[in-house]
This record gives sequence, C-alpha cells and structure tokens, in this order.
Amino acid sequence: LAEHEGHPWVEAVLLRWEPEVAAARDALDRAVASLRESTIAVLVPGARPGEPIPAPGHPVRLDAAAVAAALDELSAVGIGPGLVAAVGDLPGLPDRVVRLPAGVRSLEDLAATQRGLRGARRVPAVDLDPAWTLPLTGEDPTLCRIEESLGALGDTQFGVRAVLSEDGRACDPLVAAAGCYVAGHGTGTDATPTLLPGPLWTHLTADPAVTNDTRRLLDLRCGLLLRDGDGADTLRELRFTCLARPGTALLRAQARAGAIAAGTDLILPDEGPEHATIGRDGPTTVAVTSSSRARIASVATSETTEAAGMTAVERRVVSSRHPTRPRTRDAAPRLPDELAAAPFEVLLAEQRAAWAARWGQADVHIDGDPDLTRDVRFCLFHLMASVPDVGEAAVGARGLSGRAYRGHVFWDADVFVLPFLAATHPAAARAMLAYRVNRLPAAQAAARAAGLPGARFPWESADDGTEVTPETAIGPDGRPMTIVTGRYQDHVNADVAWAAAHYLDWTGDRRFARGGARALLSETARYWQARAVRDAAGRAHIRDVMGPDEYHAAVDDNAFTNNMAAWNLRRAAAVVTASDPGHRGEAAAWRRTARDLVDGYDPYLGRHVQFAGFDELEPLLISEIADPPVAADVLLGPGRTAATQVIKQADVLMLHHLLPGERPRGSLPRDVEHYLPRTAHGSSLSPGVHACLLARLGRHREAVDLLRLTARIDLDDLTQTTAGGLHLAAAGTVWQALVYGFLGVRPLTSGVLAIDPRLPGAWEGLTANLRFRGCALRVTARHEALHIDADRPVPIALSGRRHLLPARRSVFRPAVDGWKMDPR
Amino acid sequence: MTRILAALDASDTLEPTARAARSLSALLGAQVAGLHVVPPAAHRAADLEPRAGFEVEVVEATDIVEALRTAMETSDVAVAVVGARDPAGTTPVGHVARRLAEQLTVPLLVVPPGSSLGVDGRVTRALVPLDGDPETSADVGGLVERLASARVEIVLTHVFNTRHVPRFVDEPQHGYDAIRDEFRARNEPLADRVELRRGAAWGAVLSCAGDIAADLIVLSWAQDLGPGRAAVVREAMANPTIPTLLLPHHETSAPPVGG
Repeated sequence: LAEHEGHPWVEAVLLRWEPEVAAARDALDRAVASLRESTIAVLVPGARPGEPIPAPGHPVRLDAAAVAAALDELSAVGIGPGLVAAVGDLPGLPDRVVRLPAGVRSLEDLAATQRGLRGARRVPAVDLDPAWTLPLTGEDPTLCRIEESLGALGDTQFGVRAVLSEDGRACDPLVAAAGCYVAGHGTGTDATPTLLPGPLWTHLTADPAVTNDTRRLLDLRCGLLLRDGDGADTLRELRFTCLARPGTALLRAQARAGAIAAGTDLILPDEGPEHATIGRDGPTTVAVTSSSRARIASVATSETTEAAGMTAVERRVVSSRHPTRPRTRDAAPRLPDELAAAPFEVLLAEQRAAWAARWGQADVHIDGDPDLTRDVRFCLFHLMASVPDVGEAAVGARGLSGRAYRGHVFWDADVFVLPFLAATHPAAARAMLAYRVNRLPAAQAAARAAGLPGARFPWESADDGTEVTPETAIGPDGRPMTIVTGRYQDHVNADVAWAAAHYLDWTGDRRFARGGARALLSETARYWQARAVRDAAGRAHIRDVMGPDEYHAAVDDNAFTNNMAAWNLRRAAAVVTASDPGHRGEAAAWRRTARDLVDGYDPYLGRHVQFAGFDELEPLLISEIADPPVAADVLLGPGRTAATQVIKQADVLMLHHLLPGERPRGSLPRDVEHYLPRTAHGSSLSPGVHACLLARLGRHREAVDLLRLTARIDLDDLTQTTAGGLHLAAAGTVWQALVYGFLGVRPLTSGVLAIDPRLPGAWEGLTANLRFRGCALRVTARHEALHIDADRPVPIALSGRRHLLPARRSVFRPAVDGWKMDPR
Repeated sequence: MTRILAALDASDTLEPTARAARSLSALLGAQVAGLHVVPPAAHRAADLEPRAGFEVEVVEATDIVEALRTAMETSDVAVAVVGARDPAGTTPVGHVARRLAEQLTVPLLVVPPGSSLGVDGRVTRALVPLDGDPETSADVGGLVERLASARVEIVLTHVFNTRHVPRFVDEPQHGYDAIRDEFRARNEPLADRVELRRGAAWGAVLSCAGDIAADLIVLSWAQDLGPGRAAVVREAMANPTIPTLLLPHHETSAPPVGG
C-alpha cells in the first residue's frame, strides 16, 4: 500500500552515522536539505538531543535505545515506523521500517524519488499499524452507510461522513457543523430541530473502471482517510479535516491519466437547508447552506495536474459556521492566501503533528490486547474529533458523524463524554460546559414555567436550550407512543451540575469555579430545593420522575435522582458558602434538604431500592426473557415491562458510578448483585458503566466482556443504527471503564488524584495519558509495578496513602497492604 | 411478452383467482391465460372462459399438480396464480396450492376465497415483510422494482419478536426512526416506508396489512414447510385472508455479504 511506482512513500529517515557519511559532508547536507524540502524529517539515532545531524567531532552513541528514542521522536509528530526509511543497518528496527543501503548515495537516491513522488502529487501513505488503523472494506454496498459513519472525519467543529468520492449524493453524505441546526417540519420527532447539512466537498468525477476497489483505511493516529486499493488502475485518495485548523479540509486523489476529474468543488445537499446557494468566484467555488437559525459557508478550489501518465486532483476547502442567527452581511468565506500557498505535504505534516499531540494527552493502551487497544482508540478518536475546544460545544448523541438523534444534546454529553475531555483536553470540556452556561436563561425559564425557582435543563436540547424532546413518536408496534422522558427525567439537572463539578475536580479551573460553575450548581440546587416535598415526618421526597432506567416512568424517590439531587445541593452549598457569605442561609437550607432526602438505601437489605415500590414489582430477571443486551420493552411491551423489575440500564448503579464512595460501605457489591440480573442493557450507555463497576469489584472477566462489547457497539453495528452516526456516549463509557474502572483513577474535590488499579490477569499492562490540574500524567499499571510519569509535582492518593509525586517517573510496587513507592 | 398463468377450476375460487390474475397482468404489463387441468375422462367445465374473462386452456392429466407445475415453469410465465380452496374449511389452502408453493420456481400468487387483488382491480399498496436477512431482501428486490415502477406503494414491515429483537434502543423517539431508516436503506431502498411491528410474525404482518390497507403481501421463502421452517408462510397458508405472492428463494440471487 505504501509504494508508488516501486518507491515507498517516506515521511522520515533514520540515518546510520558512519565515518563515510560524516566524510561526505557536502553531499550529505545537500541530500538532507532536499529531503527537508520534501518535508521529510532526517534523524541520526544516537546524536545529541536537538542536533539531528551531528556536527563534526560530536559523538554518536548508536544502540537500540537510541533508535527507539528516534522513533519515539517521530511518533510524537505522528510519523509511525511504516513511514520511516532507515539508511544503513540500525539495531532494534520494527518490521515496518523500510531498509535502504548505507551511505549518502542512498540518501541522495531517496531524496530524488521522494521529490519525484511529491512533484507528481502522488497520494501519500499511512502507517499500516493495526493498532492505529481501521480498515473499511467497502465490500457490501448495503453497508456503505455504516462505513460512512465509522470512517467519518472531524476537526472538532466540522464533521464529514466517509462517503466515497465518486458516489456524490449516493448513500448518506453529510457535512455537519457543531451547533448548527435547522428547524424541523411535520409532527413528532420530525418537528424538532435537526443538524443543518453543509456543502459537500468530497465529490470527484471518476471513470467507473478505477473505482471498483473501495477499500479504505482510517488512520486513527493522524486523522486521515486513505483509499488505496491494489492495482495500478485504481483511484487513490487521501482526505483529512485539519485538527489544527478547524474548518479546513484537504483531499488529494490520483488515477491514471484522464480517469478522474475534480468535477464540482462543492455540491449542495439534496435536502435539509432552508436556503442553499452555490456559485463561482474566480478559481473558487462558494456554497452556503442556511436556516433561520444557522449558516454554514464553504469555499473550495481544486487543482488538477497531469504527470507521468497520471492525473492528480488536489482540493482545499475552508468552511465557517455560524451557529446563531446569521447576519445577512456576514462576509463570504475566502481561502486564506497562506493556506492556498502551503504545500499539501506541509499541511499533512501539521495534521500528523496535531493529532499526535492530542493522542499524547489522551491515548490509552492495553498491553497484551492489541485488538481491544485499536477498538478503544477508535472510540477515543471520534470523541476527540467531535467536540470543539473554543467557544461552546453542543455535543449531540451522534456527534458530527450522522443525522440520527438530530444532533440533540442529552445527558450523554455531560456524564459520558465530558469526563474523557476534562481529563485529557480540558478546553473541550470547558466548551461543553459553556454550552450549558449559555443556556442557563432557557433553563431558568423552563423552571419558571413549571412554577419553580432555579433552572431546569431540558432532556433534549439543540441551539436555543429549550426542551426539544418530541412528545410523540411512532413506536415498535407502529402506533404513536407518548414520549415522557422530557417530562420526567429531572435528573438531567443534577447531571449538568455533576459535569461542572467533575470538570473542576479534574482541572481546578478557578475562573470557571467563580463564574459558570457557581451559576450552574446554585441554580440547579434552587430547583431541587423547591422540587423536593416534605412529608409529615420531615423526610424529603422527589416525586414523579424517571431515572436513567426508562422502563419505569413517573416514579417516586428514584434513588439515583434523589441522591444526585442531594449531592447537587451539598456541592452548591459548599461553593456558595465559600464564595458568597450572603447566601449562607440558603446554603444551609440546601444542606438540610440534602440530609432529609430519601436516599433509597435499605440497611436491612444492604442495598438501594431503585424507587418507591420497585421491590413490589414482578421479580422478573432478564435471563427469563432473553440474553442481554436486549431491548426488553420491545419483547414485553412497555406496559408489561413497567410492571416488572427488568430495568433498561444502570440506575442505582449509575449512582455508584458518578458518586463513588459516597454510598454506604458494602452497598456497591450488593447493588450489583441485585440489579445486574435485572438489567437488559437496552441502552448503549449501560454495558460500559457496568464494565467500570465490575472492574472495581474485581469481577474482571465480566468487566472485560462488557468493555469489549461496548468498544465494538459501532464497529459491529450492534444497535443497527450506526449508519445514522456513532454512539459517542458509549465511546465515553469505554474510556471511563478503563480509566475509572480498571485504573481506579478519580479526581477528588480536594485536589488530589486517586489511583487504585485493578488489572485483569490477561492484560500485561494498562496505560492512560491524562491531564490533572495542569499536570501531564502517564499512568501505567502492570502486575509487578505502577509507573506514574508526571511533568510537574502532583498530589495523588494511592492505597489510602497520599503522595506528592515529583516531576519525573515514580514507581510503585505491589505489597501486602497496597502499593509501596519504590525508592529506586 | 411474459404471461400470468392462473390455475382455474369451476369452484367458487375461479372468480377471485381470475380477477387477481387480470389485475396482476395489468400491473405487470403481461398477458394473462388460464389453465384447467382435469383427470382423463373427468367432467370438463364448460363455462370457464366467460367466467375468467380470458382464454383458458384445458389439459387432461392424472397428476394435476405436476401438469400445472410443468405449464407454469415455462420460460414466459412471470407469475403463477392459484386460488386457495377449501370448501370443507379444514385445510384452508388446498393441496394443489400447497404443493405448487413448495415446488414452483416461479413466483406464485395465492388468492384466498372471497378476496380481491386491489380495489377495482388496481393494486396501490404492497406489504413486504422482511426479516433483515440480505438473501431474503435480494429475493424480493426484482419484484419490488417492478411494482414500484408500476407506482405501487411499497411498504416494508419488520416484526420484532424473540427471533428478531434489537439489542439497544437508546431513545425510542429517535431510535426507531434510525432503525426504520437503515432497515429501508439496507434491505429495499425503493420502498416508500417501513412499518415496525412486534409480536408473532404472521399475526403482526396481517395486522399491519390491515392497518395500511395493503392489497398484497409479498413473501420470500425457501419452500420448506417442514417443522420449524417458514413459520410465516405456514401461517399465511393456514389463514389466507389477503392475496399473498410467494417468491421462491434462489441461492444465487443474494449479493455477497461482507463487513
């Protein structure tokens, strides 16, 4: 795959330093300069740091460690071994490195061939590392929409589905922009806002003879989608959306002479926008899609060249999004001169480096399970690609990868997506919270409309923050069904507050603590304070709610809702007490209500009761119906399901997941023992949460099984709806199962990072890159040791002991009473 | 030109069967003809052609099913039509229809007594039950294309039950829309819509047919009525209430499945 006309595509060279090489200094300098002009990095393993080519007389210490260090250096800018050429014998080279003869002549030849490939605008290669690449076979045309979702690219602000270039409007092409919606039409779900589709930029005109091979490869490490099938008479193409320049996208394609043409740079989506225009402006095409609520504008230019019997098409696209009502005088987008002038290879190198930097903050690696590692990276890749890190981020249930769920924002974003970002790329988590803070007025209005103070966030929201949950939909029996989630799932209020607090725990962001977080926590607390009602005995209740288990509606004292509300009240009281003495009286009332709220815990049973009366329902176990995961309500019907103890997803257990350690000691295993056999996992959010909790309990086999299942929900299309977009929240639970579950990492409110690994026997190790309160961390748990690399001093709690780790690697060894620091 | 060939006799099924054959011929732009097979020396009905409204050939044979099968499998027969006859009410579909269904390699329209194919002979809506198996979908593809080109509304139905149940439905107000969209795209993009149902398969299909006022049900099957097989077709044969077009499964008709 990596070869073009007999020559491999190379992004970096490792040069063995030998006397003959050093002696030919002028020729060496010319070859190195030529390679660098082709954006090819040249490193000499063993040379002094910061000195890629040794100066005369400087020593070179060549060994396997030096080679590994050089490869690490390249990996840090997104260049994997498959894109590296080694000139001369080097110790410890991975198999995928291209081996070339020693000497400057070899370097000169390489420079010439690489210059030729770039001059002819050949499609670059990707590193075929199976742990970093996802093949899309394209074999079955009926499954094309699934692959379009799986291979979707995102730059955090714009997403583009992986439509085949020659397909035009076939399958389900979509360019989506975060926060841009168009009003719905019709009734039920159709009447609610949906994602505004933007101009499509992936289309090429191609001779059908060159499009038979539709195999593609998603390079997770660098955010590249490569089409590069076998055979000379095949369309090759590389496209990417620039992580470092959101809104910018590039495509390069090649085929035999005359077999491809740029066609139209941009095409308008068939349906969706209220208005759409397209036209030419000199060499560029300008297209705009808009609604009364938002606008997406794109400008694109394509350049076609012929060389050596091949046609190459190179396209550059710049898009802008206007999530709020567009101003009529918004300037038309234009292609920045600097972008138009930059060589494709330079922008590609920038893309590789940008993604490598994101992975440097976020990668999770499971030693001993490369398949699972790849599946996990697939999940993390799409999480990173889907969330803006500037302004505000409206993160829909399917991100920017498809139309399903209409881009609506659920608790999925706050509880399942945000933690990963808070722990790896806080700016994106902050943008997600900005979305909530900016919609506080709408939430306050919703509370007022219900006759309550404070704020009540909607179950589903789009651009303006109002409730957009449809009230009816067509159900699985073809009949209209009443949708009550918007009415009853009050817990979303506490979920939003939890997200704000969780972000603070990870980041210590004081500015946000004083502003947005305080507003979110206190306004949601005011709602709970009024929402709770007291009985004659003084106990506080929250009635008529629905917990995460959506099989049971309009219940009283749902344990999850009540305990989350109590937590919300306490956390808000702490914030208000510390920052605003004038509200201490109100804070004291919140604490009293939190204290008096029925928590559902039954000391006799040693577990929680999901809601008042739950234990009196028919004690049906999920095994009596079907093997989970299963949409049990489809089999039983909603009425029958509601009369049983079968639950859709983690409910009581969700409480343990969000507030670990805050429930009575010993209640987690009891609750798992009681509720797991009743859980259908009918929501894609459920298996990952259970994997996390089972990992904490040391039930590793079950935990790993559920983790694998969750990591492949989209890869195996387990929901039968991946075609409509990827399940971002389920992807978030994969990360949480690994980091919160198996590594036992949790940020504490006290500013300490708790770590408590529980490693399955079949895994050799588990590594996660994290960012805690400004400190970049790498936590690696192995059976024989725990390594924590920190770039600055960081307080941790391990095995009940607190440590202030220095800015270097700290090593702990397992002991009878927990982990002990290895003084060496 | 292709033909619609109807198996006719002098019973009460003649009129509905002939009417259905005429409707089908108009729908598919095919000629229509009838075939009356009688045992040697048996009485030959005299007034078949006036009652049928088209030409009816009379053939003598000892094995009626074999004679019908041979005639119906000639290359120009697009669809065979047979009435579901059971004067006694014990075996709703007669043995002739049943054996033809099991043996014919061409599509067979089974017409229940008293039914009609469409209103005033015009077919406007066909219900196509699919289980999501790509081979089944491939089986119906050709016919659906012909019906769609004749402006017949194609409604797919997929029945959820213990054999076919989604694993996850995150939010029903969005999840079922997503399932419907993808089911249509993957199984029969020419369809106008998808109706989901749950419960016992044939009951749900019949109920759906009633809900949408379907003129016709189109079923693909492997022509095996043995125990545990073809439950929907068995039910359809046992309780025929609406004209049902049975499409034999052809091993070679399915595209490769990958992914």
